[in-house]
Amino acid sequence: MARSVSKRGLSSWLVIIPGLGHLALGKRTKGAHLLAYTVAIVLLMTWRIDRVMHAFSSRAIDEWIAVLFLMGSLLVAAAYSRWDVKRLLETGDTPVASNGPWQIAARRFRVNKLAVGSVYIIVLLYILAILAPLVAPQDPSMMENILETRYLPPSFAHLFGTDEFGRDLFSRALYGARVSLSIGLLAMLLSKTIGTIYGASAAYFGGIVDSVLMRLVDVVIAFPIFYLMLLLVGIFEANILLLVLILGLTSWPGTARYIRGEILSLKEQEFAESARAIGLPPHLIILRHLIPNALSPVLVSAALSVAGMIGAEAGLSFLGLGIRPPVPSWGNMVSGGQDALLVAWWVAFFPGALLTLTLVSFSLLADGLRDALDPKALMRKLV
Amino acid sequence: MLLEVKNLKSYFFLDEGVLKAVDDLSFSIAEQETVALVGESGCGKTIVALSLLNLIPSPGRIVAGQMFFDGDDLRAMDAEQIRRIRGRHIGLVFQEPGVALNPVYTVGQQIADVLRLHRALTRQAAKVAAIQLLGNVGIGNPEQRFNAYPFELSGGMQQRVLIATAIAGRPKLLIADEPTTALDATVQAEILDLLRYLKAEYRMAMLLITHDIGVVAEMADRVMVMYTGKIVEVADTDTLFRDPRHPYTRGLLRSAPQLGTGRGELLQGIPGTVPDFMELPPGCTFHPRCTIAGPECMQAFPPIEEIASGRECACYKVT
Repeated sequence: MARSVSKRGLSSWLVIIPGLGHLALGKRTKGAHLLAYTVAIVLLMTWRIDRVMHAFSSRAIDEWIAVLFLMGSLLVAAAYSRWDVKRLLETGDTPVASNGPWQIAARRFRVNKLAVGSVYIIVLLYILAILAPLVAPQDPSMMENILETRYLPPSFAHLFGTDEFGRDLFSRALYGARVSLSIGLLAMLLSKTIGTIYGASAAYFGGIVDSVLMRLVDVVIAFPIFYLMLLLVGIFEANILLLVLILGLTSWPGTARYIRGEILSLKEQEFAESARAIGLPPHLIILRHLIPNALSPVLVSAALSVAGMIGAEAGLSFLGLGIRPPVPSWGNMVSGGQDALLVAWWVAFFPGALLTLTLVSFSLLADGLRDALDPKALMRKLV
Repeated sequence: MLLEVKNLKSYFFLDEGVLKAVDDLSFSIAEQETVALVGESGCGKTIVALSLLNLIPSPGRIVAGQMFFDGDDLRAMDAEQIRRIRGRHIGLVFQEPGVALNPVYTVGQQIADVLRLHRALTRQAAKVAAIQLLGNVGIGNPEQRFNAYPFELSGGMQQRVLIATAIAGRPKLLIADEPTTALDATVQAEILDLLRYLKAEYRMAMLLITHDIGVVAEMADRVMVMYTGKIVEVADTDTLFRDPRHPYTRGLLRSAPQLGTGRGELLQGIPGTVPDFMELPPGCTFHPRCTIAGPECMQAFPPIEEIASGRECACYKVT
């Protein structure tokens, strides 16, 4: 059995390849994940070795990032695998069953197949987006012979077909994912960070500070955001940064209000008073004691918010107010395909389908998080 | 004197009027002395403790008085200076350990936090010190308990952890606010033993706030009896138990069960109820419940006066 595997026999060569050590020790799931990931990376590198080599002499930063990510994650997988196998051998595989609220939630989350599946999809999409320069079959804006290659239906050469200019839609969808997914994630982070800190400060300091801060929230909420977006996008050339700022800076008031309400009740609880009695400074009380206790609903709404942000970006781009062609985003790809919907359905279909897949995945993730983090179910026994 | 409080007044400004939770209180605590503050629930005991650390919740605040700790004027300090006193020089143990610990952190982290804050330890050193401290407050298997969350521990263990956070900064004064009220009788005794041991080990003074006269007898060097925000009697513990003077103190002692009280014998309660703070009777606030009250008791609250060496009492009928 697993324990009888001799220590030396394992550490010599088996653990060089991430996952094999775990498999030998009987840790099937972890081992299979690590091994599959490693194999996938190695396959990708050998398949696209010319581009990997090219990245070293290229000045394009996204190629660099893709290659660095590839090699970095390989190193991390190897290092983690080594460390974990060593730990397993030393401790004789006694899992430290911790019963912290987060660990319980993680266990509850893992039971939810739909939510776990959506995590896989989301992670895969993000990895593909980062690796787009290596994975994409063609340059996303390359047009060969337009007359010959325009509106080609999906085939092995062009997985998603080609558009009116003969550009490969699969490549464009991969590059479009970079835009859509990064805007969604960054705008959500910006919005939730501002909202959380803002709301927590207002609640903690209370009194006049609270009044002033919350009136400002009222102003932001009352502001016709959509017209502000139109205005800003009209004045400035829309790029990823601008969209992140616009979406992030206009959507935090909801979080701020929610967090404020939570903190108002939390700060009256005795553990907050005891944190004060210990002499903790206010910012540590807020960050370490109050916010973590109010955070689980924010996590749920964060997952939903990424979907919302991606949808908003797609909507703006669809209307021609977001990312402009030739830079691809899922939104402007759908928009570009609508004229040809009857002759070439695939132009609008694939980016639309990816958009739907992403939004549904984030919604399912949010659902799973909500069920796992439900405080009323927190103490329920689970495996 | 380690702590000297003079004419402390902490009032709550409510819509219905001013609630004088602590009214003209003076007392002192010497180094390594244990002083008990006794009184019925709702007589302002906890507000005294919170006043010392300037932690009174709004709409309450300290209206007047002087507080000197180790020679420093606590009332002259700004928020930042008083924060440095908390936990570092004056530790506070709360009544309900179950809610005074943060549910999302392990107990070890919460102790290590205090250590890093007040003793400027590194993460690693704080962990080692926290484990040692857990052992010191009588928690078995401290290495494993370090990673336990508060809800995984029993009430008694939670109280031990809370005490550990209070003493982690090595304060000179430990305020224990009803430290055993929420616990079983057997656990109460263990916690009291622990407090006694730590007090000696760390050479702390202790302000023990309780309504349990039995706890007082076991722990305190000196006792202060509090009624409706005022101290009505101060004496050495032995003296007080042997010879209580103030009619309220006598009532308190009579109403506590004692070993040797025969089966079927009734305990004598104090007649009446604690008056509402917003509708205090005129004069001595105890006079409606007092068996020896005379006409002068309805005029003004009797001043607290020294009636013997080390004994003070606030009653016209006691001299």
